[in-house]
Amino acid sequence: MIHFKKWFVVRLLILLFLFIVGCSGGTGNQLAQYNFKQGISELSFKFLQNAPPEKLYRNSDFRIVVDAHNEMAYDLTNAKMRVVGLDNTYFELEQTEKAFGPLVGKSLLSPEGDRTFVEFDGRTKGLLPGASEYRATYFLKTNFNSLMDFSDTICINPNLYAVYDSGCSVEAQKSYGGQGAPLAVQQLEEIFTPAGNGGGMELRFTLANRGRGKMTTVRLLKSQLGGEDLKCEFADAPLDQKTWLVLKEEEKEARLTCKTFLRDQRSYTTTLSLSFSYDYEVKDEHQLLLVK
Amino acid sequence: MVGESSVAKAIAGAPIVQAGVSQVTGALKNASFWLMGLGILHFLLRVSIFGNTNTTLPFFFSMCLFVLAGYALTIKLEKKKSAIMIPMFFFLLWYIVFKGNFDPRFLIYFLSIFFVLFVLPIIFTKGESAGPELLGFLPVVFFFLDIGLLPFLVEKLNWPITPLIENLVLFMPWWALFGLFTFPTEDGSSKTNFLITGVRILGIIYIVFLFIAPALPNVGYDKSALPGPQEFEAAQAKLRAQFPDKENPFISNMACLFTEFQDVAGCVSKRQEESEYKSTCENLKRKQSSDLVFDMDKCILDQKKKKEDPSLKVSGVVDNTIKIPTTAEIIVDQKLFPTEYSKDIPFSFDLKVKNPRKQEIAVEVYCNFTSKKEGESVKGEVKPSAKEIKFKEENFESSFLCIPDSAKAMDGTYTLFVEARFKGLKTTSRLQRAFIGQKTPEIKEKLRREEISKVIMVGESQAPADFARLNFDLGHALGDPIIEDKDYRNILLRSKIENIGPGRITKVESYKIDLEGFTPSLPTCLEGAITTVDSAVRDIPLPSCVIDSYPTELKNPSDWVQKEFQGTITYDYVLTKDVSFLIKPQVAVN
Repeated sequence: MIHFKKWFVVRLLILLFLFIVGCSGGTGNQLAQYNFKQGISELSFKFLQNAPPEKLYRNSDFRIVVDAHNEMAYDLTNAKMRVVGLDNTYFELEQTEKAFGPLVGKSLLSPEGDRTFVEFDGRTKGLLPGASEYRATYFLKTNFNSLMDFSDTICINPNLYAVYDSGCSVEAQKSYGGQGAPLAVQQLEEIFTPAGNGGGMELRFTLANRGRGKMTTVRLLKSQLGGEDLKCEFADAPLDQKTWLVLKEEEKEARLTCKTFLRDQRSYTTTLSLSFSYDYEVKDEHQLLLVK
Repeated sequence: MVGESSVAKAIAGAPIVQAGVSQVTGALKNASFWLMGLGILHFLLRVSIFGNTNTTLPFFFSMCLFVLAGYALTIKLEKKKSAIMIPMFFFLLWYIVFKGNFDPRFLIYFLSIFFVLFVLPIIFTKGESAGPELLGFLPVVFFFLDIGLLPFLVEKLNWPITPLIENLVLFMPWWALFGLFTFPTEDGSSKTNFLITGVRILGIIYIVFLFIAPALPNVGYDKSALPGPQEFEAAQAKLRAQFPDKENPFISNMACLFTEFQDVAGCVSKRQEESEYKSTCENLKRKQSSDLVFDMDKCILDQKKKKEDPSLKVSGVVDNTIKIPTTAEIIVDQKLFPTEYSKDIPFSFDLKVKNPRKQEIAVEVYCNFTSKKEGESVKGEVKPSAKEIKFKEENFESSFLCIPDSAKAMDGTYTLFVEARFKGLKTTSRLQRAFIGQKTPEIKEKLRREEISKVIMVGESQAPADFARLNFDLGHALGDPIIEDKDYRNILLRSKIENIGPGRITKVESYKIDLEGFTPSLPTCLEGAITTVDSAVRDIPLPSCVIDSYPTELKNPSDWVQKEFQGTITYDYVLTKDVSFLIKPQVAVN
């Protein structure tokens, strides 16, 4: 019996030790605290060494291998990579379009983010008689869908004239450095309109594409204030579909306006959260050199 | 009543006539006026009577005007007039007496004497004669310009023929220009001679019209081998013959100023074009048999239609990816020519061909001699045989001998004509196009700006700088690389063959534009042959057509598709070279 008790104590001590050591571990603690959903992150690309080679010889096989790395804090889906602008007279690709993904974004479980290799197999053809080389410019275009979440704690004070209210103070305008994606909420403006018991509140968001690609569509998936749904509309969206915005060619910014009615008279802090999905296209220019 | 009035008019008009006579006599006393008048006469004779055959008379006339120019220049000067004569005298001595000797030993000896005689007057006059002496070089420069310096440089140094050079060669009476420069500002009696002033104004207007064309190209050259007057004159005649005859721009401008002053530029260009058609038709009429009726109006209309052929507007550029083009050169070294006629001593020349694409080329070589004096042509026998030589080498060089096939001995100035006839030359052109399908105008322009312009940098067809090339264009507008799939947008195929070499295209064995999967409205716009080619024509239009259908994969791509098309011509080409030389009959040895 005593023997059993001894063993039990020893085991308990070992478990306690492991628990303490585990919880106080430096790196793990930092990682747990790290917020991946900040700053501007994108899907990055780089060629695998020698794929394609610097010089391609006539009538030879070659391979373009692109290392696609999801550096965003969100998963990406429906990714497609296309080779555009290569002339079939000189370079014949087996496929000019490849689907890949989904790629998991950076998180506690996957701090580096997923990566994949997209391959295009091809074969060079001949040069024109007398030509010593042929330099071809082409584009690698990648389209994907991804998400972006925004959350913040904001102060709400419908009674603008309550001097003696010892609650929180409202920041009329707030700026943000990004949420770990190319699409970012850049600015938030809080506008209150006192009316009787409570008042109206308008939250104006400025969303921006701060990545190097082109954003085609932005959809608002969810908008909540203090756990309750918030009614939001894109300023430039058509009347029948206000939570969905197709951005024009040169448009880099979108405005979203959310409105709610406040019943409380006192100031208080609450959580604001928005969730978006978007379509994105990244384009990179490259060259292939075909020699004799 | 009538008689009275006419007498009154005569009396009233007498001072005017008197003044007119005084103006004319005043002007005739002026050497510059004479130089201008004779310069114009000399120019008119050269372009009309002397034509392309006689080179001695214009040379002699030019020499006389050279002396007159010197005299006109001395009158213009106040001091040290005779100093002008020093460079002029030395030039005559060197060019006529010593036949433009370039032997370095002779030049050291000759230039030393010239230098001493040039510098001594400057020293004695304390620099006063320096100006007049330098001015003495002016008639020398004008003499060379008159006998054909510009055409010579164009021919020998491959100067580009700019519109200005063309105008100067065709319409510039150099000695008249010199006369104009030396015109006095006032006559001897300190009263302005209105006739001289009027002629001066007209002259300046004439020059302004000639100089409307772009500025002279800045072509540098470091070596000059001064040729004989015959070579200058021959070059001038040859280049003149190459240009189509057109109305003098001065006449066109003057006529348009008074008739269509609202649009002088348009009127001038129209008159020039019409005169060109007329001249071409007159040439055709001369060539045609006198038994046949020649319809001049129809011919002019045909020429106009030819010029307006949309195919002729298709341009092409040199393909920079093909660094070495196929070229050939006939090299004739006059130093190796016999100076005394002998049946056993032939005339030699070389043929150098660069064939970087290792094509199988066939060449036939011919030669003959033409006496400058009698105009008689003597056939030359080429050795080794003139029969077709076939080669595939990258660098082909061969020497030939030309033996005059004449019973009588050669004596005098002759021109050796060498002709190399190349057969089966091949040149391939390429054209890049972007098929975008049905995109909005905004997306199309974005694609053009951000992508297509980076991939397709040249909208025209590209070909190596061979003798000739096929220029072709496919699309909605000339040079536009974007092709859309829209019902209201026609796709046209236009093409022409352009002679970019120094010789003539004699036959187009075949032309073929490879548009696989495309259906043209006219099959001959894709391939065909031209058996007879007008030797004077440098652009040969090919049939144009509309593309009725094309591959579906090009019709609606998700982005855009780049496609390169190739076109090949197989043609015969003739290169010529002519060199003048002096030969004496063999001195009999006893």
